[in-house]
Amino acid sequence: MKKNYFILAIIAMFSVAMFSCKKNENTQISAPLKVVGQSIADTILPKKDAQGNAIPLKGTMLAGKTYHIMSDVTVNAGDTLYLQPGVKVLIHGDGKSPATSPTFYVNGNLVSDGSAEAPNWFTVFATAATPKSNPNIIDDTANDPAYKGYWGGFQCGKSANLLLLRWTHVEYTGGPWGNNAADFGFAEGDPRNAVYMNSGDLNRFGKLIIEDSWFYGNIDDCIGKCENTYVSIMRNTLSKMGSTGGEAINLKSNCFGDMAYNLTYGVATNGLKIASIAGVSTVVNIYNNTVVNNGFRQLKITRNGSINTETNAGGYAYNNIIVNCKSGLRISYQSQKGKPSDTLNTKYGNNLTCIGRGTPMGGAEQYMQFIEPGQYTLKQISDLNGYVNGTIITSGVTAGTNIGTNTASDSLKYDPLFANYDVKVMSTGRTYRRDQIPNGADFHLKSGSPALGAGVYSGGAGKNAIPTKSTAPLLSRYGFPMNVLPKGGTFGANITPPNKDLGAFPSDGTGNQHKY
Amino acid sequence: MKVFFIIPLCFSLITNCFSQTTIKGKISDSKNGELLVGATVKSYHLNQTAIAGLDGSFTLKNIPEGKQRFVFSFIGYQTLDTLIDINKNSFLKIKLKDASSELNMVTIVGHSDRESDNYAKQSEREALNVINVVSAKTIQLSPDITVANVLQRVSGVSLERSSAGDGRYAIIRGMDKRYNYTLVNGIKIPSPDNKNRYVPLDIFPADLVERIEVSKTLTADMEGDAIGGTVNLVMKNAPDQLYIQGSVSGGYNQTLIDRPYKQFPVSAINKKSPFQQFGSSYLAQPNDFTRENLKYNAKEFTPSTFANFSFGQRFLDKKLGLMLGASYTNDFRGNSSVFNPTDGEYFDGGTFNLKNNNVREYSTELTRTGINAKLDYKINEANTLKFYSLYAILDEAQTRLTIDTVLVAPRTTSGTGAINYSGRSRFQRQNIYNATLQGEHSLITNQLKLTWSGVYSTAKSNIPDLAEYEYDGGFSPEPGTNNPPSIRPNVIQNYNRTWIRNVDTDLAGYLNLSLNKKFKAIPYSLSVGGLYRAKNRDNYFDDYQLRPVGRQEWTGIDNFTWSVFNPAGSSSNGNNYNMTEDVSAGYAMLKFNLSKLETTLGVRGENTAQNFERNVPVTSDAKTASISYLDILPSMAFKYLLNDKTNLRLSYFGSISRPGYYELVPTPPSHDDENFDSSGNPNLKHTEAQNLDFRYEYFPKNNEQILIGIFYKKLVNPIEYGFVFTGSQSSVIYQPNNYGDATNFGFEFVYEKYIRQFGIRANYTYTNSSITTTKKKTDRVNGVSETTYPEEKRALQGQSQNIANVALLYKSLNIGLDFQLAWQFTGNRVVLVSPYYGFDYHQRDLHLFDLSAEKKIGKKLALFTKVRNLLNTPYEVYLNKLPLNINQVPSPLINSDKTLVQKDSFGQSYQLGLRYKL
Repeated sequence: MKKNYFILAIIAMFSVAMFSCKKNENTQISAPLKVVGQSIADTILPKKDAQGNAIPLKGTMLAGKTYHIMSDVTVNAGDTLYLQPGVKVLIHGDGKSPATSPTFYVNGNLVSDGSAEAPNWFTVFATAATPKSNPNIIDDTANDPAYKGYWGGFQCGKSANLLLLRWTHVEYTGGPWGNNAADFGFAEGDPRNAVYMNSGDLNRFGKLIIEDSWFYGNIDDCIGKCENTYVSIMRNTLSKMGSTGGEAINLKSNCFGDMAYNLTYGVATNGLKIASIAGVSTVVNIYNNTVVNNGFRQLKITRNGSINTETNAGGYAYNNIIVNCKSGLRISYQSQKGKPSDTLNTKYGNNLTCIGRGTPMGGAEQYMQFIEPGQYTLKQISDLNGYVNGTIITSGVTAGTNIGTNTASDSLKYDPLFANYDVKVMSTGRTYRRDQIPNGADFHLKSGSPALGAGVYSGGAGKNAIPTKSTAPLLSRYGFPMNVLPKGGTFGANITPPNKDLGAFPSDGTGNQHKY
Repeated sequence: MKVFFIIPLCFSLITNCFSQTTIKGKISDSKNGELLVGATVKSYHLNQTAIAGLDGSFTLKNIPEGKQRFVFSFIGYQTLDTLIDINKNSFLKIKLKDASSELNMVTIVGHSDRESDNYAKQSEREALNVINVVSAKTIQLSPDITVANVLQRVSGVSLERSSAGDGRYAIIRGMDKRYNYTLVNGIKIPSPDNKNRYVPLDIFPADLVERIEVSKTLTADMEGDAIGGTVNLVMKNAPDQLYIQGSVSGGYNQTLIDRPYKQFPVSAINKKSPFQQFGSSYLAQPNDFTRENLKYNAKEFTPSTFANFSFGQRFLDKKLGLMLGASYTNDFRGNSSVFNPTDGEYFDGGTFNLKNNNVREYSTELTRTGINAKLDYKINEANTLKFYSLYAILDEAQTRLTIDTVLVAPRTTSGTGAINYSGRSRFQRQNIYNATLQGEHSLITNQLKLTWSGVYSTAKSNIPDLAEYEYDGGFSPEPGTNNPPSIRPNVIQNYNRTWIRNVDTDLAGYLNLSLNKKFKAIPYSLSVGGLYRAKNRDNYFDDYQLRPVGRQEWTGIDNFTWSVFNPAGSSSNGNNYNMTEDVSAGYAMLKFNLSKLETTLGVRGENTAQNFERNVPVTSDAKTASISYLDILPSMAFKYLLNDKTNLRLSYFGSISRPGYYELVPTPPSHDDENFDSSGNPNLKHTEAQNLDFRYEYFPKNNEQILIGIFYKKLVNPIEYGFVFTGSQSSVIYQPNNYGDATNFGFEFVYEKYIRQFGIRANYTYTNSSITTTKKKTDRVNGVSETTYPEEKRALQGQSQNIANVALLYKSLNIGLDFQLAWQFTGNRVVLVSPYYGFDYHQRDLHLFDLSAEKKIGKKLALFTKVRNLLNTPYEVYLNKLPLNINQVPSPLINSDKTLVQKDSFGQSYQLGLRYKL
């Protein structure tokens, strides 16, 4: 009896102790409101000079204000445009021509310093002719205003130093390039990327920090075709990306950094892609992302649809959850556009791939597979998916590739058990094509999820140990995660390291903070 | 009074008398000794007739010895009716007098039949510089429809073909088209071609041309922008007597016997873009774009029609001469092409995957109309005015249907993989107008002469609504099953509609003054002159992107919806530009004869000023540019007469080559280029060259020749096309560039020989050119991909080491039959320069055989036939490497250690027709 009381007491003590452990101080100390340069009082921008030319913008956009952007905005080299938390920027555009798709040309620095409590907005000034999308449009690219590309996004030219978007909504981007397209390596009429950065110089890197932000609605690649850039793209939500082609994040040559804790939902092609060129490397770590419903709107059949590395691109790819995508992680040997990935400087594992419908869907519907056969990708021991590795070819030009089998009956076998997103229900009919995140969806993991505790993390052991690859010079040089960008503060990156759980929403509450 | 002039030379080697004998002889022009091919000899004994063969010779058999009556006659010559004393083995040298020389009150310089071969050879012999001349008779006899086809039979000339298989530009001594210029009656004419400075030769019907002069060296009185050489088309001149000639013929292309012609309605094409129709603020709607122009009907019977007519007469006491020519061609062509691009597929270690196998089927309808008028008025002995006008239109309607098999994943073996289908409709109208007024004034008779020209020309090209649709499908394995590959649905892709137009206007004035005098018994001529030419070019470009509304499947062009992605079009982009070029030039040239040595010394200055302005924002690079430079070009030519049959020539000249207008303007990529996105380059430098030529010429008989020449050229900044990096990813753009300096040396050999009815014309040119340029090479070094820039040596772009032409001729005047078999050989050459090491494209040796024949029916009519490309020789381009994915590549694309990049097959072309000549 005494013993029982004793045990009860211990339990009570422990529970109190645990309770008290969980309840740390909730201290909120106000930060000084930053002002960079002069504050911008006018709300109809840009202002014009006597000749009618737009005056470049610099200084601080003020908290609580709503600014109206009427035409292209330029931030000159060396200048900074700073947005305090809680700034709303409404862009007046219809996406029908370059002139009516205002664009931010960033040749210096643009810092949108939103916060969880006071996020910033870059969205369309909605009118009857340029309506916003709504949560009821879930699979209708032809009519969904999300794919109208009302404005031109952030184009960071050769002298751009920093683009930082923090707790910022960026919506309805993709308007066409105009007559200056060639200056940025595009063709007139091409849809713009919501974010593009390229110094044009292998030895000079732009800095791209995008964290805790939302990208909603874009015509082609969203954070697209960046080159010569250091990146930290973390804890973002990207949905309704690419109408009939395009990636949520597509990094090109000479990019180094991390992409982590992002949710990409309803993307035409890949959620996350990296590809360099012959003679130049790109190394980006791709970890703890949750990738759902990607790859079904691409018109070209040879593209992958979730996470893809091509042409001399490498990095660590761990802890990702891929659900209902055209295909799982691809370390490419060949594709219509790409050349072989940098397999030496690549290491991957601890990824979960779930197919809601393992049975082939013929006709107009598309297949889903765990891994595309014939590429370098292998199912690792630490992976959770239904691919059975084929024989790894050891000689000749196809060395390293394998043609394995996707086990059709493994549908739903690797369900990650999201807290509020029933993969089985979301796989019926054509719901796998859905591009609108359901209201209230929660991609955290229920108990019993195979993704819990399946990741690599600092302090993990065995299959949970942070991977290393001593033979890979670039992986050794850049690390996991990377240190290429300044950390913390207003102008630095806030990096979340890999978690012991898979996906963007680990159970310890770190990672992606967004609610839907 | 008729003057009969007879020199019967009798070689009586054997004195034994026979009652009958065989006599031989030769008939020539009394003045210049030209052999009169086709002149007739009539013997009154037994009423025998013989006709002089290709070497001007004739044979009559069974002629009794002693005095016999003969009649010698030839059109345009006074008939000779005479008695000749015939001995055993008589050899008669007959000289006939030109009919006109007696009839004319006014002596016209060079009034002999300028269309003849002999005149042509004569010109070559007497010219100051190194030239080759092709006469109208050669043209008539050869199986050629256009001037370009004719040109390829000149020594050292090869041709660059259009996608329809017609030669378009002359490559002289292997020097790319850009190093040569084309003149019409000595005047430069602008090109309607968007990317090229000089006129496409296939716009000129061969029938309107009197002769073609190819000059391989320049003198100071010639414009200095040719390094390879120049082509001068001399249009038909007013003759001394009524001249009427016409021909009609029909033809067929073998490819179109094998498969039907795919025709789209040209009339359905929107000639104007929505922007041009409705103005700058208009936003194009999906319905503004027609679908009718993308519907293809199989047309089973597509004969080609060729017709030409020329008329010449002199009026007002022969003071006013008029020559009119008109020509019409409606030609249906079918050709097929295989195109497997490897550019941009380069990967570390110099490897690549072959990714696309485009199998293309072309149907092309060419309609060519040319009108040509030449007037000359002799005011008096000293003053002549000439007016020349040319109007030419070339319409080209081309259907291109492509099946593109993607040779990489998901393809595993044949029968699997993605397939892209597309159909393109392209209509282009090019026209050229030229009016030239020229005057010749003898200020001091036989001493001081003034000539001038005023020229107005326009050249236009219009490509309205260039459109191509695409849908992608194919066959792919079903994952997770053992099912056979299943058909993928055909998914409609994005496409473009593009309007392109350019207009060039030239105004030019030429003035030359020449003085002929003697200095202490040394005859000399001094000439000075100059020219000024102002050119203006406008380029218009408007492009719309149409995108399928959502994912749609192809069930026909009518059955899907599209949206206009950029409804305002792109009329404001950098492809819209205006460019001007002013060239002013002056020269002085001295020519004098010291016994057998003829010396020409000269110097020419050419000043070039170019400006362009593009429709891009002021914040963009290279919105405007002005470029100017001055070149001083010395020249020397020596001609030494070893004897009356042999010349030695030595010449030196400095010359330049200017970039094309398009080539200087950094236009964004347009969709017009056949295979690649291309753009101009404002930093392009003009090419400067030093040229040295030595030539030995031997004329054993009047129309026979042996020419041997050697040449050396040093080129600074030659312009070549290659891929350059755009700066975004590995994407490359096809762009003109200066890759370094080059040298070019070689020799040429021309041989012409006639024996009775048989003749042979042969020429061969060897050229060794070399240029060393920096290429990109990437390799894995210690686990990291790295780039190096090694040097690579190669021949100049477009330069074949070996070029040869051989024509075998047969001419039987007795039965009125002409026959010619021609072989043209263009050796291996670099056709495209890659930015990557070891990735240049090479054209394989090309042998072309053509056949032509003509049979006289009565006196004025002739039946003729021409067969081009007798063996259906394809044009093949290779990359000298094998792809990594060789197991996925269809085996015909692999040729031992090479990969086929391009193969164009044109099929044989047959033509049969009637010619009438008064």
